[in-house]
Amino acid sequence: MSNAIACFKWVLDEEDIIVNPDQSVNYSRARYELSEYDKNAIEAAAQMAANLGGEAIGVTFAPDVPKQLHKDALSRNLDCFVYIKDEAAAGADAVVTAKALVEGIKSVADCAVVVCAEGAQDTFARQIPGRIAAALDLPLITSAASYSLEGNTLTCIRRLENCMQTVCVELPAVIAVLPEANDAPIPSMKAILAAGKKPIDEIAAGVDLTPIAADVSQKGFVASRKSIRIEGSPEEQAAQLKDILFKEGVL
Amino acid sequence: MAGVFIYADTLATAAPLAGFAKATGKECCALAFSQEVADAIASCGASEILLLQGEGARPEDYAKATAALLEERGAEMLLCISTATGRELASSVAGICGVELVSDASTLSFDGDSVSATRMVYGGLVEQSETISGFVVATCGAGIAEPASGAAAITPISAQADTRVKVIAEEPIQRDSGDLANAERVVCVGNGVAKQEDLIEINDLAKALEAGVVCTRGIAEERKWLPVEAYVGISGLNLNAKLYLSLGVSGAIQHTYGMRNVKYVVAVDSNENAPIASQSDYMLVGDLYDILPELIKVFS
Repeated sequence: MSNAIACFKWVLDEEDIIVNPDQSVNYSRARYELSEYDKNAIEAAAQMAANLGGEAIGVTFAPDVPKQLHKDALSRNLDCFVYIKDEAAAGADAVVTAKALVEGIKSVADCAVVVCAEGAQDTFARQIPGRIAAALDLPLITSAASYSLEGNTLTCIRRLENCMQTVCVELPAVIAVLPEANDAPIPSMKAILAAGKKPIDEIAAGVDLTPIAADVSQKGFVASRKSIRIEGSPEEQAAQLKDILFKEGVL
Repeated sequence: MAGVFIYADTLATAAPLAGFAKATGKECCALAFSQEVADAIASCGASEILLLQGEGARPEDYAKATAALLEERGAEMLLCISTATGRELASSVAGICGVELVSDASTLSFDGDSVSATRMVYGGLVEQSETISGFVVATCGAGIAEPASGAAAITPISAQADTRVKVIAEEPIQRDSGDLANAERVVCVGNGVAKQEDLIEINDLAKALEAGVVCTRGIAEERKWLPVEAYVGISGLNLNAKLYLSLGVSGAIQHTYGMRNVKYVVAVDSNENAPIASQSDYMLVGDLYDILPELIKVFS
């Protein structure tokens, strides 16, 4: 077994999501982008595949997205990716997403390791790695701040609340990496050009995509801050701030 | 026995989770995976402490055993504290049982046989509500409810552990700057701070304010000027300070999520249209290199 899988997700760029004054949410101007944290997952899979002498293979469950995004993912040292294309992926819950991803993972032969980010940029629910490990009955390492591979042994340092925990596991395994685990490189021009020639394996989910939760609704968050601008020269601004904080009982 | 099963490994975190469970009027059972933790949480207010004992060194090793136990007992909910361990246990149990997991729930309530939950998505920009029927898993912070109290008996249960992941070492994290999440005042370093040497002056301001120094994710993970434990945001610290004073922080949503519980937000930034403007109570617009020395002067 020598291939390393990276699960990744295209998410709506939250900078383009508009919260209306009535707290309704307008997604119409938001475009998809690669979840920031998945760049580290892809890089980790690429490094592990190089170490294992296999391929780095992406797996994603997504609706139809612009071709540019396919290329963007492939320019990040992936050799190819499995694209479980289904409109149900937009806004799918974690149960459904994990089920679909597991089908994608199963379609890859010789999989030594499945790498995920700790969470996705949009939902940040941090549950896909656990669900994948459970479905495939693989050992799981989450919150990996670093990783190293020697032969078939994966050693990780996990960031827990009060300690750094060093653990090891024999592959195959599922690992969730923190952004600090590596520096995901910005794709080179050569990598971007090469990406256009890399294969994409489009498959159907082939599983029940009905969500569990009902009555799902959303409302935008509106900060209730004073938003008062303190004017004047830097000296005056500092003096005014001191007075205000004193009056507010902060000092 | 049906009811709510909780997992948290300290008394300070187990007590509010038990508080939530008891407020629902349901039976509350706490899970522990070592004698030490079972003893520590024994007075959290749960009616029973179930101590799963086996070959595993970590709570995560008992995910399968936990799932089987909860199914056998007809649990209505497994509620885990939002720590790395709690989240892994929760996601594994949810995966094994094929049920919904509400991660980092802001609110949870039982409505008959179903659970209503809210959580933040899109970096805290959007609050999502949903209703789930049947057994549900959730994670939450210690702020979910008022702490309960009351001693309970510890019931040992022998359990099969999954020992494929082996612990080699554990090294405590040294936090030179103390408990930043609960610091009363913090000064936050953003990308508008140009040079690492500027931290010397920023530390002077922090000292004058008796404040901790925190930062944005970019400062910790890209520039590596401050430890990752010091960055604020959805994947980092959630502040509970009275005062948060930012220097050169633009106010991206993932960052400001971590300062929602702060009482007063003061921003210093050159861009009056930066997102931080609407996320702050007071804003000083100008060159931070002109303003910073003046702030040090007035607060010293």
